[in-house]
Amino acid sequence: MSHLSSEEFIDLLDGALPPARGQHLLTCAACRTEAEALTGVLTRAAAVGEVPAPSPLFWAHLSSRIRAGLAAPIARTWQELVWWPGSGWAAGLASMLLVLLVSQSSFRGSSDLHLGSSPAAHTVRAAADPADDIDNDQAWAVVRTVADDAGDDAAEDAGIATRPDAAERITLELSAREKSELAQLLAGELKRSGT
Amino acid sequence: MLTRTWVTAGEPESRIRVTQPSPPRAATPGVAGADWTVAADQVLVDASLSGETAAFDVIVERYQRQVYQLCYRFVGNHEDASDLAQDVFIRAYRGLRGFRGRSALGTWLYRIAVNVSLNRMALKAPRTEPIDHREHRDAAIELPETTLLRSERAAEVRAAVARLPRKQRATLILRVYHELPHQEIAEILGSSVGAVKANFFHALANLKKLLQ
Repeated sequence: MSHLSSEEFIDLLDGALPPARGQHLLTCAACRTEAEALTGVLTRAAAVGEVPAPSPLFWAHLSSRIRAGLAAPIARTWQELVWWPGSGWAAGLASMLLVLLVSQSSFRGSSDLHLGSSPAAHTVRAAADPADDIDNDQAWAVVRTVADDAGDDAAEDAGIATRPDAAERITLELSAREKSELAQLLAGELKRSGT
Repeated sequence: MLTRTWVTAGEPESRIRVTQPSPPRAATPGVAGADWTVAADQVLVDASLSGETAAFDVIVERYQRQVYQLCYRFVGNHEDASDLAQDVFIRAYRGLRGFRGRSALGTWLYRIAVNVSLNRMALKAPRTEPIDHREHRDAAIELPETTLLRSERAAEVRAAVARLPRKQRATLILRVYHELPHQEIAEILGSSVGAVKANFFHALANLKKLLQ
């Protein structure tokens, strides 16, 4: 008789494993060991405890916050700003960004070859890191420029509510990790769309 | 067909019972000052879409605990969980027209909460609260060493859960802590029951490795 599948192990934990398959456990030490291990870890996970109850006043406060949030004008996050459905300029923006990122990366790579691994080289590389000096980063400058050049009319046509200097503000506020995340999103979107 | 009945907002813990039929659709209150609290979910959705803000308030009141608790399970701290819960309801309100009633309103809200929470975690590592803020056992009848040990073990489990891949983590949280049936989890995650079970199995297997 074959070993239990992953689904059957879960059925076993749920007490829903058909008796015929349960017979297998009587003769298979490997499945029995696995079942005991899964039961143990499930018990341990379940014992973590309940979510601590917030102050009773919190719920009224949360309701108020939600009402206030609904009354406020829609403010898009940087991800939504970039990926709002129908924002045709996003693909162009993504293309330009990636091209620049790649070209800049290549440029840095060639520079590194010349600079070697001296402390000075590290200094130069650090200064070129967009995370350290966003104002001098070409890729992000292009992001800001392209976003601004897209124009409010195009953005409104795409359903995006923009504010003056929105792209500038967003890029300045992004952390290194968020910029990395955005680059990954752009790359993923390009790959998905086959651009 | 099994349908889920959500606990009322006044109950302290999110527990889902799957063997009870959903309540009959209540009559629309229909007049100003009517008691929306007794209305069925779909009635509240329809009323909210018609501009009855009080109806959406009832939806919030009805589900805010479950949504908050789910978000907390992902991020592990009150501040982020409350922000996420607020975000979930705002997104729900703005997307209410897209709710077709094919799944329960609670399932739909859970789906939003899972997506919002996973997206937040992808962008920002959650700041877990100090252990003593999270443990609410009766310390008066327990030795301090025992409390500390339990807290440490719980923290280990939380840290391990946080390291699971996204779908495995979501599946484990929904199954173990919210006790949702596999079918509901499949609806929330947009996958099949078989995939949910496989994810749950791998979540437990990975958790076992991480906790060794």
